Amino acid sequence: MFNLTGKNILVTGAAGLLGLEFVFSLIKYGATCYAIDINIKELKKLELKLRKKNLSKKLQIFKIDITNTKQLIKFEKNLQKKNIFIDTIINNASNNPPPKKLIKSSWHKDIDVNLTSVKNIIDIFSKKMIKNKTGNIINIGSDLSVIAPDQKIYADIKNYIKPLSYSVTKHGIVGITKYYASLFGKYNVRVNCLSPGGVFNNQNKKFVKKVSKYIPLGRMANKNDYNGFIVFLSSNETKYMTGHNLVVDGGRTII
Amino acid sequence: MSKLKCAIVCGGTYGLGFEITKYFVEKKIKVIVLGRGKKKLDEIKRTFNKNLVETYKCDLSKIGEVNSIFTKIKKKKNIINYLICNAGNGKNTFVLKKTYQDYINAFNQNLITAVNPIEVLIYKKNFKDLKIINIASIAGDFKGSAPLPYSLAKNSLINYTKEISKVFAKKKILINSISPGHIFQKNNNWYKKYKSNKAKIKKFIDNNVSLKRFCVPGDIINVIDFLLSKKSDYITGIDIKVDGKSN
Repeated sequence: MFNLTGKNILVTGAAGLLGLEFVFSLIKYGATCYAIDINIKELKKLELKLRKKNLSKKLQIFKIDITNTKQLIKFEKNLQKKNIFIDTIINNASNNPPPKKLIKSSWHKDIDVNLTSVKNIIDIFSKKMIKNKTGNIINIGSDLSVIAPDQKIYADIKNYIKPLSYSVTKHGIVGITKYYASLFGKYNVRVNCLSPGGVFNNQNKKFVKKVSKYIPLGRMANKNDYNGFIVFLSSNETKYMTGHNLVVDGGRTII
Repeated sequence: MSKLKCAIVCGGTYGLGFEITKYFVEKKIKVIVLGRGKKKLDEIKRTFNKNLVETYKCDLSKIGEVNSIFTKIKKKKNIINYLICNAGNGKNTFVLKKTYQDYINAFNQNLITAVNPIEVLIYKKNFKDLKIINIASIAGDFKGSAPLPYSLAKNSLINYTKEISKVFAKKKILINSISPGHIFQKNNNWYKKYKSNKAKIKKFIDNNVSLKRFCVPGDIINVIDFLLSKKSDYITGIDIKVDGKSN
């Protein structure tokens, strides 16, 4: 159905729960992934898994802090020297710690990771896309990019509420998406957002049951539920989609 | 009972609908085409493999007709896997002075033509792993300067999709809509407009579509193909815009 052969895809936050899934799926469909994260331990494990399938050459791992612009510029220059053109960017990195304890003001960190770094990455890597008149940028939002969190979900977690900064940054991601889609359309560079709902990650049963009641399909997402969507948006089959926020949440946001 | 998968395409005889019918035939999926024009339905029969295509003349805005056609479909032991509601009409509403009847017509032709087949099929229960796609329009988002009755009807179709998806989710029926941008296809409205004044239409697209080109049927078929696949089983109630970011 899809063929990503020949595509060079930059994935940020690649060692995260969804990041690893995305990288594996994109490689499975033929892409070469340039996977960046501050912690690359999980990516090394993925590399071993890919080696068994003779696909490890399709994964390039880089330890990079996306909030450090100098590191990003240096990384881009190194790729240029090797004549590697990143034609697709997946801005997946996000600061979203599990709701276990009260987190003291994460405002600045959330803005830095979830918004500023996305803007910086787009600015740095889009220059070549504009020059080549082709490119594809996918930002990862959240169901909270269109609705407010219902704090009742977290009522059993002592002293915790979903931070304002998370809502603000995820709504902001949609704004970034529309802004750049409008700006870059004439260069045939398209920009979309994929907004996933909550992912099951061994949370306690009570929490999962409570969240599932909010979802018409009656369950949280499995971590691989979004793989098809990331491959779909990365593929040429969506070449007329731009500026769209694709919400994939089992119906959570229609309630 | 046929082992083939089975789809119903409402308004499947010409334009985008014809391309959707063709898509199913190429995928070796049996397709039941519903349309108002006998001539065009006969043309479909002549064009495609008879074993894969069944046609019925039906005014989808009339519940009685829909009910009787769906009874026939059920009697033939068809189990429906996909329902594509593509019937619609924006032509009659291109008037400066809109009357009450224009609004009624727009809703009948663009909303009720989807509501009737969906609700009758659910009532008849001859479906399995059902996925429904409604073809809306960017006019439903009040973009593209379409006439108000048409825009309101398409907006209602998007919201109908969203609301009904909650009920259908319990039955594991997935329903989404696609909002295409300005579709360019041989002999359609945009084709004719472009042929009559190339410079004007080119300027319009340049000014209003970020990707600076028309939508072509293939752009929509790709999204339909994805929505009908197993890869998209966690999405429901959503409207997907395939419009090159139009104003």
